Amino acid sequence: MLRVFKFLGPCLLWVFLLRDFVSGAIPLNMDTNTIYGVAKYYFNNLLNGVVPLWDPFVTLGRPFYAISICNLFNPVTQVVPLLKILGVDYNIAFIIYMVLYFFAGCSGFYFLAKRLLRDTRLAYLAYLCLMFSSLGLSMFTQMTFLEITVPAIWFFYFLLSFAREQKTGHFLGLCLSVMIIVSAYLPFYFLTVFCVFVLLCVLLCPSSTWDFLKDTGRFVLDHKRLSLVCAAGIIIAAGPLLAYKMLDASGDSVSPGRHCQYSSVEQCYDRTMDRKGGMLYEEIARSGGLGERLDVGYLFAHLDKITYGSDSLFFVPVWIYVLVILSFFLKVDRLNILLAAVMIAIGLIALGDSTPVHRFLYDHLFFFAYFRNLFFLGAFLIPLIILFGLKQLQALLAIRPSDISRKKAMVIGILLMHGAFMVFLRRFEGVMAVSFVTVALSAALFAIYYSGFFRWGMNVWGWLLAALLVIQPVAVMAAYSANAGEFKCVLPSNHVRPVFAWIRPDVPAVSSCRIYQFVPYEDFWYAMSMTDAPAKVGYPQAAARWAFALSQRLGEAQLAAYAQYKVYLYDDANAPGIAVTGPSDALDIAHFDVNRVGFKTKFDQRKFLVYNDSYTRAWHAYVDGHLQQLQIANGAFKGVWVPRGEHRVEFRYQPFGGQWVYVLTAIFLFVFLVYAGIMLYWKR
Amino acid sequence: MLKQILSRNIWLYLGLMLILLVSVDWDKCFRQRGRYLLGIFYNGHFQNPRDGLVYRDYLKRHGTDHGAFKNTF
Repeated sequence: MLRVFKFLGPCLLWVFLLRDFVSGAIPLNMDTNTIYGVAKYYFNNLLNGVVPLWDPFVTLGRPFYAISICNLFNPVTQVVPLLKILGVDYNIAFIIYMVLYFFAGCSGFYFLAKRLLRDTRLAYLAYLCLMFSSLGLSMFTQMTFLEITVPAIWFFYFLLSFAREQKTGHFLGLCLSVMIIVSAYLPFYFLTVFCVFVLLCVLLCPSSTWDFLKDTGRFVLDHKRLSLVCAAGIIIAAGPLLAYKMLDASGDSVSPGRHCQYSSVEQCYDRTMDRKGGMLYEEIARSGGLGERLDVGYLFAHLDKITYGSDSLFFVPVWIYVLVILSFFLKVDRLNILLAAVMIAIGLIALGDSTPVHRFLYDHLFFFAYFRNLFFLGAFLIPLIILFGLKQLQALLAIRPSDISRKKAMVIGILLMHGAFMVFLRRFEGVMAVSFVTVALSAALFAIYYSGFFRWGMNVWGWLLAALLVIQPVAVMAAYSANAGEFKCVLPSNHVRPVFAWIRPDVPAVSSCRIYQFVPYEDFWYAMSMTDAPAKVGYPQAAARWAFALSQRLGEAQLAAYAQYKVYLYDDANAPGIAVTGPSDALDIAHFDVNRVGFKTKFDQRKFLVYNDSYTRAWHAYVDGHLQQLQIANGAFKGVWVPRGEHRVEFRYQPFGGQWVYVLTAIFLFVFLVYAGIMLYWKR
Repeated sequence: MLKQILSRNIWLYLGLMLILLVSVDWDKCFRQRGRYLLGIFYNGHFQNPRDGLVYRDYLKRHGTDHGAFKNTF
């Protein structure tokens, strides 16, 4: 019972402190708002029986590229549709998923710390420390941090476990982590961290690395079938990302990877038309480096003023820094060097063009052209700093001065070090009083520990240190929640069955909610509510290539005047088109979902039907079930000749792999999780 | 004795700080950070005095103020 409370208690405290976020009263903001919009769109359509591959509502229709990069196939994410079926609205279901995923990450971190430090009390402190760090707080603005770090934490736990014991369960866990990493978001952040880790392992521990490689090779040879299944699983899990890259490589749409927002429209246009993928170095380095998001003062000062309008929160409990300061004169060991070197290397890469490191990697490693927002790498620094700090605590607690003079020396040394840290903190304006209280309590506790004044058992010390660790984060979280209170508003969260509208609206949807001060409301609204946006390309995020080109040739106003009507009919190629404003006996809608539109036609003569939804080469036209030649109509849209009489015309979006890529990935990940779970727990 | 002294964490920390000092363009970091704080917290037109404090304090710690920063960068 106590054990359950030990782990559940902090979760309850965390939920209580962030109750306004968890209850949905404070809306999801920034990238998390986008990811929620994507998840709602995906699961809403899935519950309608369709795996959405196309978004017909925005930018005159565009590929639903975000399906591959929002962790939608993760078994944990499947709680969203399950909760929806149970009657919970999408917004709350999504928040529950985020919170569960975060707690899963904290649990993984507990096991990782236990493996690394071989001490359950320290592992528990690590669990608390991660839970009360910015990794959890920032999920409401930057869910990507969780998407990239949670599977990475489990990966390193299984890697360490496998290095110690080559068990099947550990191997499966390792493979499952990789599968989740490649299917969650761009795996390049993890790849960067992994490469840094491997390189430093080779440099610092060559013999252990060699032994690990030999053991792994032996295991793979002894378990060929299992290894093949794992390899197949990873390839299948990479399916959505490969589909995304194929879409990018096809040049049929403006790739989000080209980031048109950081180049002029002309540059964006030229690169789209030239089918150039990847990003220029200037586009990557222009913003989003760690130096932009973090400074030394921000680690300690103004933590009660963190705004909900920023997604670059970086915070670990102040006591971790105290531990690092106290470790100045401790003996250095290989693990200390490895952890510190990994942190510094990741930090240098994350600083972008403020150091020569990132430029060098961009020039020599292909995948560095495919991700920006380097401050995401900062999310990996949080668990590393915590592990490093607790490693120092382990060494500190191991010191047991034997005689009175040594005890005195230790106590004086400890008090001096704490005093020095207090002086350091005093340099900054706006350091919360609770930070000073934490340092003072830390000094008192260490003084008691080394003086041996009270002979408390390690259990008591464990609880005291746990309390010391969470005091400051609790105050920071309470302040963060209070600051975000001014952002209160409601997000669309109802289930929608999309309805075909014949005319697009003139004016965009607006909201006065403060979260949309930074990003236009319409960027989120249409995906969440599945209603049409005005007929414009605007900011060409993933717009179809031909629609984007047409918007540049015609101008937005002329394009909007034309494409306001979704369907035009032509008697022949030279005759003027007639805009269709609603259903009639001659033309009516037979079927509509986001990937497919069907019309019932009953024309008195052969007509050319133009559907003003963007053309790409993955679209196909059918008349009475027979494939017809789909034409690029009016520069950017879909058109097909329809014979006279009664017919059924269909436009279907059928990219390579279709819906099966995503269905298979979700199924395979779930099956793999169950299999790995069985192997880990039932056969241990 | 020398080995005892050299095998302390402090040398590791000093080494890492040296790497950071040598390899990082801190002026560029300052410009990027200042611009970010100005952009996000102020949203261009001084809307939020509480958030603005973070920006103002950041500039103050770096020996400048809003007017000078905006004129220079």
